[in-house]
Amino acid sequence: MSRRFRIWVDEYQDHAWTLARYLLKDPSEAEDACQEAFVKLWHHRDEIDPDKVKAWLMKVTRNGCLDRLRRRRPTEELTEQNAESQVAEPAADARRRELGQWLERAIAALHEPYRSLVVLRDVHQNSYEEVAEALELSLSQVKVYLHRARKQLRKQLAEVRP
Amino acid sequence: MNSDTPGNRVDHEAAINALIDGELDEAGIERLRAAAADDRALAQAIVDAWRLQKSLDDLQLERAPSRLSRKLRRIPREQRRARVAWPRRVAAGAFASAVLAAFAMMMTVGDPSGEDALDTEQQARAASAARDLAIAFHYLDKVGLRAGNRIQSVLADEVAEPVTRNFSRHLPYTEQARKEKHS
Repeated sequence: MSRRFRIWVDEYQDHAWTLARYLLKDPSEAEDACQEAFVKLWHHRDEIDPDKVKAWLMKVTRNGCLDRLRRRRPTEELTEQNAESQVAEPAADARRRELGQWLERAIAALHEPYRSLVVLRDVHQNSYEEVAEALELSLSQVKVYLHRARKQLRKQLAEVRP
Repeated sequence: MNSDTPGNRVDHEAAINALIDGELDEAGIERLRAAAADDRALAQAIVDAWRLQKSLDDLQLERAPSRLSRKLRRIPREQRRARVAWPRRVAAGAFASAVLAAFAMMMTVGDPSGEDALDTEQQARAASAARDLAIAFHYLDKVGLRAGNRIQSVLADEVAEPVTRNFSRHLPYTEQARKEKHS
């Protein structure tokens, strides 16, 4: 059993970590959130359909992150807003790497569930079905929300268009 | 011809997303291409969507830090150890409470081998106290185990230790009190 768990760790730790990093923007909190999610996975390992472990883990990681965000003090949210305002700074001569960094910040500035949607679908490259399962949304909701999220990103991207 | 009416915008938006997801059929692609030829804003939206997707595709999964990997791999061992350690702690707590109750009884009943031998009434009182003590032992053990299981399942191991530590914190004081009484 612990061998199977180890395989899950190897396979999904980067996914959980990336999602937590995008949602929390704080490495040490992201680490804690990942660890909590995997402890829960260990405790529920016999109840989870092996084919749906990834979606289950993403759901639990995301819920843990959202709980942490809710517990944050308003001053910390203010810091987030300040970070958001920097996102839209024009960067006409942005190179590819800079564009990637900009995009990471732009994704991090999206509201939920758009942020999770973009990370799970466009960064993790999950199928719509997997994303729907992880976020407990219908397939059509996932498509509609993802379209909105992409449109929002596109709008911001247009502002830094060379 | 400008196709930028609200209805068209929604259609084009859906078509752009379907194009990005690889779900737009040939006919749909042709329709979008034709519309974009006449609509500069739509053409720009398609270019922006493509650029965004290209940038998103370039974003990689971040590698989890090795410190986190190590922590995650330790989870099975640590969780198993926590499960095994907990009943022992509960037993220790129950034992501590039993000892506490025994000391309390000794102080109440007194020393039977002393000069004041027990009369019948005292014997009855002692027997009753012994019965109460047995019931108390049984109750404490049951409650300790039940509470232990519940706390373990709900709050995890970190909480368990402080709970049992409270029991043992009383012991030195009780032992001290007993010595003082008998000195």
